[in-house]
Amino acid sequence: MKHLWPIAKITFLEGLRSRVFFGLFIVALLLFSSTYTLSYLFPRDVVKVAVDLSLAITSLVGLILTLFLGTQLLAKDLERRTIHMVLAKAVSRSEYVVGKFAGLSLIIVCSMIVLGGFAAFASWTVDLLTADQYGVVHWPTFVLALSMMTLMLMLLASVIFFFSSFVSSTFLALGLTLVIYLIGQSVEELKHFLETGAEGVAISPVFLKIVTGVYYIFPNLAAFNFKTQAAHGLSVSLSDVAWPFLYGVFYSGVMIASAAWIFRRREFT
Amino acid sequence: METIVFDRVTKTYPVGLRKKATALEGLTLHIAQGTVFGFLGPNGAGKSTAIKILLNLIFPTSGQAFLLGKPMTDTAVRSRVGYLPESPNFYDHLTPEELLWFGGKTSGLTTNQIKERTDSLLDLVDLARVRRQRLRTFSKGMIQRAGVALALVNDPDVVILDEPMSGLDPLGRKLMADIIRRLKHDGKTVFFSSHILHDVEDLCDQVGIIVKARLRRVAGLADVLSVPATGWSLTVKATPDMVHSHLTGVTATHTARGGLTEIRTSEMDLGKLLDRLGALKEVLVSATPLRPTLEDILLQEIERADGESR
Repeated sequence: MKHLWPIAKITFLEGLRSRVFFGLFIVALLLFSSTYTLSYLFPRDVVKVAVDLSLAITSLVGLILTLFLGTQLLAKDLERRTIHMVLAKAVSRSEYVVGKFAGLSLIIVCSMIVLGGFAAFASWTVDLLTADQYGVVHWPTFVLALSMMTLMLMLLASVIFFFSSFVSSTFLALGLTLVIYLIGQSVEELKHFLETGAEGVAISPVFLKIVTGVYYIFPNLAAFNFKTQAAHGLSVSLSDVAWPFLYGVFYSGVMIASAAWIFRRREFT
Repeated sequence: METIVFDRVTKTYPVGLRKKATALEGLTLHIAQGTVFGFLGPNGAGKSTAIKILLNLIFPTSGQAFLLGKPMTDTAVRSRVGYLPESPNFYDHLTPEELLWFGGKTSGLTTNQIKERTDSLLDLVDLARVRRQRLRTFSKGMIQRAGVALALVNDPDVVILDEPMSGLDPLGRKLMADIIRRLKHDGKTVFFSSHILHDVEDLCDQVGIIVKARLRRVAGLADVLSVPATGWSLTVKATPDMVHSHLTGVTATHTARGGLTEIRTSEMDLGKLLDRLGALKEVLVSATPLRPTLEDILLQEIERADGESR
């Protein structure tokens, strides 16, 4: 794995200089500016809404960025056969996959630092302009929410890599990842609903088993959502953070290891 | 020492559910160190398939290939190999400098070595003035030259070039030919596929002709081209009418060529023709023996392969 850095660096530079990246940051700036207007529509919870909204914008822009750059960076290499140039060097296929993922993760981390900075600035200025009785920003949970969001996006990037390792079409990889994202965001809630049951609703045990299976196979992305805690300043225990963190690292590791395994067997015609 | 070895390499692809297409059939080839080897064949003959197998981009159905004595699956050996793909595509947003940094780092060069090689190679391929310009702004020829620099950044022992001349203007082709000559002079092994037969005749020590997935002929260029002349071509500064009146009794054909006339005749009739053209001697521009060119030989092999498959 001694060639990870060169691959990660060129992936980082290539992603950072792409038009999608700059376009999204302009959109993000416009969305963040709307925080000021929208927050004041809820006079009693101005700061809470500002925090919630700015984190939601960060999450949305981060998601779009990960989906587009993730599918583009790998799929473009395959479509344009740039991968031939890389693999003709003394680079193993596993190094290629892990290096690419490291480069994309670096882009995600840097983007989230910048987007998080915008979100913090928007929340801070609203906090500054509002009396304390209408809420204050709880910075530790704010930073925690941003960090877990970053981890979730890295996990999603690993899912994109997994699909891109065997799917030849960019759109198919993007579509499959979107489906995973939607399932991952809602499966925990659905499982909880089915387990606790609803009055007058008969739930088939087979359906419950299927949902439980889906819950364990697909990534539980809701576990990384700390936006509510950040907005309301709720306390978060160490285990609330440690488990999703370990889960995210483990799941991403499995996805990348699987992508590398598939890549080692793939032919690049 | 043999630097490139193909040992009964076959590659088939599934076509539909039951059928298989053969892209390469039992290729056996041994190329010695310091040889410039030209791999010739029509489109789809199997040239790129062989190159991709050598670089482990695709896997042979049977057989094995070796580079510098190591099996093609050995990743480390590629730090001593340079490769220029056909119509190369690099990362659009990188600069030539960054591209060569990547090539150098992945080949195990130090930062100082990379800097040194980058300076000399960008000078060699005439891209020094655009070293910090993004590749997306480059023309096709410039991309090709950046690709050559990338292939050579690690000072490789083996250089594999897939159609290196395609899409280049005359200046670009001359530059590429000069680089190949220089590599030969430095004792490197060059394996290149090409459609441009003139370049192969000009540069190669050895040629391999592949048609319809099978290697049809491998020989030193001198052996391929050292065949007796089949006739002569004479060019004279005279009109066809003037020439025609001198050709009675001689088996010859003539064609007008912009103020000149080309006369073709057999080896046997050459003396007779020269006698007849005595009056025109002072206007004789050139006399060239007619030998089968590499193109004729390639066409013969294609026809033979067509005949076999019928």
